[in-house]
Amino acid sequence: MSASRRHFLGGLLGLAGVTMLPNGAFAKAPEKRLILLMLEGAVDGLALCPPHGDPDYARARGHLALPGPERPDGVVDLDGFFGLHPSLSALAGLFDSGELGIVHATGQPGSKRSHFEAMDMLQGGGPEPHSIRTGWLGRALGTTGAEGLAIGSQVPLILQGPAEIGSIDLQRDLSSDQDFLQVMADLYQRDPILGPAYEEGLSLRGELAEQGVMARPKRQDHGLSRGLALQLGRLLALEGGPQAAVVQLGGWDTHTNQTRRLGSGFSKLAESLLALKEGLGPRWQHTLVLGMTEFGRSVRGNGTKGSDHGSASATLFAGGQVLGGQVLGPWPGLAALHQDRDLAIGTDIRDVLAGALVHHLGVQDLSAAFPGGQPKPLKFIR
Amino acid sequence: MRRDPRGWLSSQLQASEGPTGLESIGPLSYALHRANKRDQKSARKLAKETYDAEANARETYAATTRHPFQERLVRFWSNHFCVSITQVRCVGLVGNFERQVIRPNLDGHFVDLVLASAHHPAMLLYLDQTRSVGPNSRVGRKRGKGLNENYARELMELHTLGVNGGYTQQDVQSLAAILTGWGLDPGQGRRDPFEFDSRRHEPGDHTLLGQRLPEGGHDQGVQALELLAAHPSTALFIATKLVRHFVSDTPHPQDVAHIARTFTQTEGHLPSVHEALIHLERAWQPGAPKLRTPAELVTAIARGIGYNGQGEELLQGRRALGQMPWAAPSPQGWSDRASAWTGPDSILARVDLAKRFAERAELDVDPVALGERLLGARFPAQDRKLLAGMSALQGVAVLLASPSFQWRAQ
Repeated sequence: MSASRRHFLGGLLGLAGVTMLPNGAFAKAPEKRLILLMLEGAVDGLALCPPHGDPDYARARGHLALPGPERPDGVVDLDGFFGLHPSLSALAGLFDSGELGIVHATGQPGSKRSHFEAMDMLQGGGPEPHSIRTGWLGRALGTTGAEGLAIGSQVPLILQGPAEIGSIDLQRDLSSDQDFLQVMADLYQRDPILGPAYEEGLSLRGELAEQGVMARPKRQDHGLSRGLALQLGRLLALEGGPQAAVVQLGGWDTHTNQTRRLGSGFSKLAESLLALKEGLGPRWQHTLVLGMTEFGRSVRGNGTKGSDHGSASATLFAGGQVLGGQVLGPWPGLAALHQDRDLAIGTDIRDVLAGALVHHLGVQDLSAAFPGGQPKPLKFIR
Repeated sequence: MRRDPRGWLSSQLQASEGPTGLESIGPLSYALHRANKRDQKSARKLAKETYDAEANARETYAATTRHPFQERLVRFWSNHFCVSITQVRCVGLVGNFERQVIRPNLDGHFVDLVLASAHHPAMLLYLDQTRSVGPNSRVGRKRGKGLNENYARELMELHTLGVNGGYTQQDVQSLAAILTGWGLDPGQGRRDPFEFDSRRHEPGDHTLLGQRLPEGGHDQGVQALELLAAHPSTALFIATKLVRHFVSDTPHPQDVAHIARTFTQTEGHLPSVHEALIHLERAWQPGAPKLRTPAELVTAIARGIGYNGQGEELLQGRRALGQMPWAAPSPQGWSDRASAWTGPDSILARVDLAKRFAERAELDVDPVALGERLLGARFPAQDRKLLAGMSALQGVAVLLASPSFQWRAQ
């Protein structure tokens, strides 16, 4: 267990006695937070951030083209060329204040439009799908000794690796018999695979009980809601807490009825992001939130009011120190499409992820995170 | 431990009867799903009740059946051809899918599973197949509708060839075109609601994996599915998944090759493939155990304590561990790897759960004797010593919550 975690868990389970921490008498660099929202199922980047000023937009998108900014239910204009989906309008304020930006046309070159393979690549960070059984963030945190937190009861691939990773299911009743858990701790110590996970779970749960965070949360739909995002923000605001958190949000595989489904998905996303900021309080200044997905969707709609699997999508970034208020990345345009059907990739999404590691978390050496690849860290943080 | 464990498993390879008393529920629920445009609320309620009854019966059946290995096979194939209640229209149909597609075909060939799943309303709805229309079909031209690639892609990627099985985007589009017209008849009360609608079918010959399939309506699709089921990539993909599920998170290439060979030689005869799996040497070696998934853990606890109550409590257990029946988050189904189930929070949830079950069961047994029966040679000496000094209630709780019990018996 690392020193910062001991502090985070201060006073619990008899661990306080062995704390060896600088006591904060001298100034310390503020703790950073990285929150990854994994938008699983392939978000339509052209709906998230529609290029309404592109002369080919309306023609190329067909029935999926959104009404223009002049219409009350239309796209929210950002810079005269790009806009936000109408259901993300609550985020326009963050864009205007420079706390939110977008890297457009992000994707994974060579992706074969398979969710599972693309998600494995996005999380694993290896040169080939299924080539590594740990995740780029888990490995990166391992090099800095920082800790991670998975929201949900399981640890996703992206966080697996040498770092200490907790997991917490914000939707479950966390009350349990502490004495019994202690008895079992002795048995679990002997299991090389389950033992470390048990210890991690026990200390995290103890900490939550101590802090009074999320006692008996209400049951929710899967995904993030305003209430859960608020609690997550408060948890990550705590001094000595985990440095990185990963939230998996599904429901973006819009093969049918895309308009309706994205409408509710995007409003929930906007609401959750604002609640995260609220929960984080002053910690927002040192937080980076990335909203990313495995690939984009076909430019033209399919036959069932939806879209099929495509190539490039868009990546959201937000936080107190981001270079927001702009849409970054070369724009491939909609005149010529990748394989005649998809938005081409303008920015390798790993350049964005590498940018987060280098410019936000201060990771110098990317070889652990992305072995066999040389991402060029994108600068979108002050 | 049984005297002839291999023989005991081999005696369970026939088709499964499964829980009874549910026969009429599925198709009825489909009819109501169609009717739900008028009365959404009561249709949703009926679908939910159907799901509860199916899930309940299935958990109780698993906890009490004398053929637990057969049940493991049912769950493997049910998870392979995943349909899930995450698609709202499938809620009332997922249980019926397992009973009508998986159970009766366990003594058949792999292609039977592919064909049966492709004709069942749960699969057709889950992967949007009912909405796909050939752009040059009569309906397509009249209403400007078109293809939906979802089912075609997952059929190759997840059900047959595997993602590296050698198909291209062009094959996905071809297969989607071939399968247009496969849909459901809204007629009320039909036992088998599948219908091929030639007005939605994309006309013409289509090329799949380099092979030309002549126009033939519904038959063209059947030929395509047969082609996929017999493809060498399918044998390899299925063998890998079987060995990963039953033997090791990291399948040994020799085991995979052996199962794939059996699969090919017997044209996917499932009892032969399952038999070959039972006789893999590595399946019986200690040292590389498989972690019980939450679903397997709940069944193991129920069988371990001789649970004879309602399935509802078993379902509560599965809910607490985040693995409700037929509720996988994606068409890929639930993971077969330990790393997917060892999140810190979920290990604690297992311990909470075991304790609750032990408390409710109030067994009057010697926990050491129970440990010997359930764990055999895997019962750690230290655990045995610890349990010997405990009350029956506490001892059973500790046993079921112990790390040894989280791993499968070999």
